[in-house]
Amino acid sequence: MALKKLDATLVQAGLVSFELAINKALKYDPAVQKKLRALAPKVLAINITTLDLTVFVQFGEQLELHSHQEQPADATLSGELSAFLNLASHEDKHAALMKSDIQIQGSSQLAMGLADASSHLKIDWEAMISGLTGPVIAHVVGNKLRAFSGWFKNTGQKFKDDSVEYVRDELQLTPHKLEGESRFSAIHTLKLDAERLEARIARLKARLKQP
Amino acid sequence: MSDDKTTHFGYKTVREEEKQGKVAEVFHNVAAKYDIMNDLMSFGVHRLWKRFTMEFTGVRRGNHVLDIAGGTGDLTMKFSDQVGPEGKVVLADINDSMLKVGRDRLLDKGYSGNIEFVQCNAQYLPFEDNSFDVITMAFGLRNVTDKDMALREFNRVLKPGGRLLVLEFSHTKNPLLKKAYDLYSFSALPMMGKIIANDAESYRYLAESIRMHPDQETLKGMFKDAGFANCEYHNLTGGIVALHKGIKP
Repeated sequence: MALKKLDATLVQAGLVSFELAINKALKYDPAVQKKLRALAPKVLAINITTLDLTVFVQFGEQLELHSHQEQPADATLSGELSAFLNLASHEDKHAALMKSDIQIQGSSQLAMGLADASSHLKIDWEAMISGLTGPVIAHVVGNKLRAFSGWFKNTGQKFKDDSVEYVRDELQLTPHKLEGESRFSAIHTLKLDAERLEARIARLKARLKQP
Repeated sequence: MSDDKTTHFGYKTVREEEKQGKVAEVFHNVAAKYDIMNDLMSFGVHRLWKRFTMEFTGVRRGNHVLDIAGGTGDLTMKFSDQVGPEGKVVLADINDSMLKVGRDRLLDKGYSGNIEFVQCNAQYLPFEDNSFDVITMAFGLRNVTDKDMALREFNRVLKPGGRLLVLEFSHTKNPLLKKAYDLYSFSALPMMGKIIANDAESYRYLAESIRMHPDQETLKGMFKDAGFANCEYHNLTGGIVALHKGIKP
C-alpha cells in the first residue's frame, strides 16, 4: 500500500543530502566512480511503490538525484521499499537483483551496471579521514576501523550460524538439512509413482472403452 | 472621480504607474543583501524550491533560456551549464541594482560566454516572437504590475512547445501552517530585515505582497487565459510556494 505522498520540499532535502553523501563517498573509490561515469548520460528511475516516490539517478561526472525528469528514463526499477532495502543489504547486488521482486523495465544493462558498481563499492576510509587529521592518525584510525569492521562481520556471521543451530537443534522447530532433503526426495518419488499410476489407470480406462 | 487605474503594493492601493517605482525602490534597498537574506529568511529552503524548478525545465544543450526577474542569477548559473556553449541564457531583471549584483556574482564565479544580461520590464520584453525554449521566473511575478500582460508577453517570446515555469509564494490551506507562517512573516521577517539589512519596510512589503498574490488555481487560470496549454502547478512546503507550468501550444 502506498503511503501519503511526501512533500516535494522534504523529498528535495532528502535527495540533496543523499546526493552529497554518495558523491563524497565515491570520491574515495575511484574504480567505482569510473564505472558509474561510464554510464553517462543515462538516467535510471527507481520507483519505490510503498512511498509513491520515483528517484531519477542521472549518471555523469557526479551522480545527480532528482524527483522529476522531463525526458523518459533509460531504465526503471520498480518495487516495494523492503525489496530495495533487502537488495542494499546483499553483497552481490547483481545476483540479488535478478532474484528479487524488483521489476526492471528498459535497459537492464544499465540497472545491472549500477548493481555491479555498487557491489564493488569499497570506500577508502583512511584517505577520507586523512584529509581531516593527517596521514599518521588516519592510519591508526583506519587500522582500528578495519579491525572493527572484521569483528563486526565475523560476529554477524557467527550470530546467524548460531541462531540457525539453536532453532534447529535446541528448539527443534526446523528439520536438519539432510532430514529435509530425504523427506523431499521421498515426496518426489511418491509424486512420480502417483503419476505413473494415474497414467496406468487412464490407459486401462481407454482399453475398457474400446469395443 | 479619477480615471487612474490602481493596483496593490503590499496591502496599500497605489496607482499602476506608481507600483513599478515603489517595487524598484524595495529591490534597490535589498539588492546588496539579497542572497544572505534569502538564506536566512527561508532557512536555505529557497535553494530546494529552485532545485525542484530546475527538474521541470527539461533544458537541453543548445536551448535558449530566459531567466526573467533572475536577480542574483541562481537559476542562470545552472542553465548556463546545461545549455552549453552552443546555447544561450538571458538573465533579465527590471532592477539594475539586482542585475549588477547578479552579473558580478556570475562573472566572479567564471560564468560568461553564453549569458546575456538585459534590463527589461516583464510586460514589455525586448525580444522577438518565438525566441526561447524555456522561460523561468522565480519569485518575481508578484512584483509585476500587470501580471496578465507579462504572461502574454512570455507566451509571445516562447517558441511553440516551449515552457514557462513560474515559482512564486502562494497560499497554504493547512490552518496550522498558515498561522505559524503569518506569525513568522509579519513579525520575524521585518525584524530580520531591520537587523541585517537595516530595512524593515522592504521586508514588510515582501510579506504583504505574498498575501496579495493570486492563489494556485487563480494563477493557473491566468496561465490559460494568456494562451498556455497543459497548465499545472505543484505545491511546495505545504503550499507556501507553488511552481506553475504552462506550455505554449
